[in-house]
Amino acid sequence: MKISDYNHCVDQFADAVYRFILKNIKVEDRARDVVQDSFMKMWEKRKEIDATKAKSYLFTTAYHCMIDVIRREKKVLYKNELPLVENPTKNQAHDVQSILNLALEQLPDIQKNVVLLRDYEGYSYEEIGEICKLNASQVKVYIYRARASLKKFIGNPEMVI
Amino acid sequence: MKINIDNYELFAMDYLEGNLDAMKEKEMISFLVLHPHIAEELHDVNQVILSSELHNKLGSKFTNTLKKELVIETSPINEDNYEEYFIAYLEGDIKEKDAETLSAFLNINAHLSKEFQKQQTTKLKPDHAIVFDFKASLKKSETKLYILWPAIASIAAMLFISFWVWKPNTIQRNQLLINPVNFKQTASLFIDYQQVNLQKEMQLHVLEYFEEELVNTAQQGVIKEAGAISKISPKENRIPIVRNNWQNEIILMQSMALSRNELFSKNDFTKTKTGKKPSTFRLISSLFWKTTKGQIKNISEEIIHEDLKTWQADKMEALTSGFISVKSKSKE
Repeated sequence: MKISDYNHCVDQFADAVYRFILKNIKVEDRARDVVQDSFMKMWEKRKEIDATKAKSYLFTTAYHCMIDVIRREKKVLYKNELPLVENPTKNQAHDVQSILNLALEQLPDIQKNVVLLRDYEGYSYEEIGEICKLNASQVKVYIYRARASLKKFIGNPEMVI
Repeated sequence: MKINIDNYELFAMDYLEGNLDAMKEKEMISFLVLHPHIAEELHDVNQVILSSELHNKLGSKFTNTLKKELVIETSPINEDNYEEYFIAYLEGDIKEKDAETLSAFLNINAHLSKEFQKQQTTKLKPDHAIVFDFKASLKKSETKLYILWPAIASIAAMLFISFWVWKPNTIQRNQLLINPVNFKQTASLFIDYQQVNLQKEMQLHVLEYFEEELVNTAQQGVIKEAGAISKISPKENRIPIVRNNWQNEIILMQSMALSRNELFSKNDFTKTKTGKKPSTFRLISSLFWKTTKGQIKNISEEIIHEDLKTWQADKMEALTSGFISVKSKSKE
């Protein structure tokens, strides 16, 4: 991987990685730190990384950095203490995507991550499996469960849209 | 505490028994509107009639939601697995044949088409307004090295020159008394036959020049024709030179070098003074001399000739390792 390839990765994937991490971590500064750490690791390993697999390496690294951060933070903040998300039907002027984003927060972390990688980045089950250290079948099951939960959450289309 | 899916049971009994305050009761009703299956559960389990307030709020729309419409099977899609097919369709996991079956299933079960559409909306889209603003800090400059290269090269060249000019005399050996060129009249070349190991540091960087020179010379057909190249090419047989002072080497090289005429006389060594093929050492010296001659223009020929007298040139052939240096003459 050359310097030009690395810089290309910054241009092409920094936003996507940041969005993915921010969806999980919520705090911009920490999400930014994870992105910077991930790119730093990629830079250090650049000679071993095939440029065609740089994106996958980046997301994998970012994912594991993020898991570390979340684990550290969970020692302080437990899930039950997280702010309760208002049900979307009570809020005004929600479009489907904003409702889905609220619904996303209700999903278990692993379901949230696999569905984000699937929808945001269009990764295959196998690629998501590599990133999250799961097999393709597990990824598929998590995505199906997530989809089912999202559908339940958004409720009746007439009430949502 | 807000009523949610995890804690509603705490409030359920109080609600059914009318023990909730007005605010909590409203909250419970709102919760049940959003979760009809729980309302149904409360209804079934407790066998109670929903409060009139809830009933009014829910209206016929709610009661209709409690009813289940019959799902007609279109094999292999049935009421137990149709949701999976809806998701599979969204995920692109469905085969063409199954897609046709799904279409037929939805035609027969039109009441599920809304649910199907709802499922198709569960695809998340990234918010492109969220961007990482610090890309510049992540990038690495590609041009930095090119910009700095002339400066790096200049510094390296200066260090290299300084090394040769100011190189400290770190080895203390009696026979390596080094005199500046100004006092060269008192110096002579000395060969120490001490066996030494060719340590890495002894592999003089001059050898790089030597190799280059060797190639150039060979290309000119000079040494190659003389058959000498095979004798001097193995690195392990090369003669190291102790570089206690650069002048020593230069004097040595100059002294041992073939003259320009000799070197480029098609190397018919029978016509040289000795009438013999030059020693390996002499060939090497010639090559060194060629590479460094620009630096020794001030060394007098006289001294060289004087030093040559002190040498036992026939021993040079046997020399495979050792130190070659300058010995200063004693005042005697």
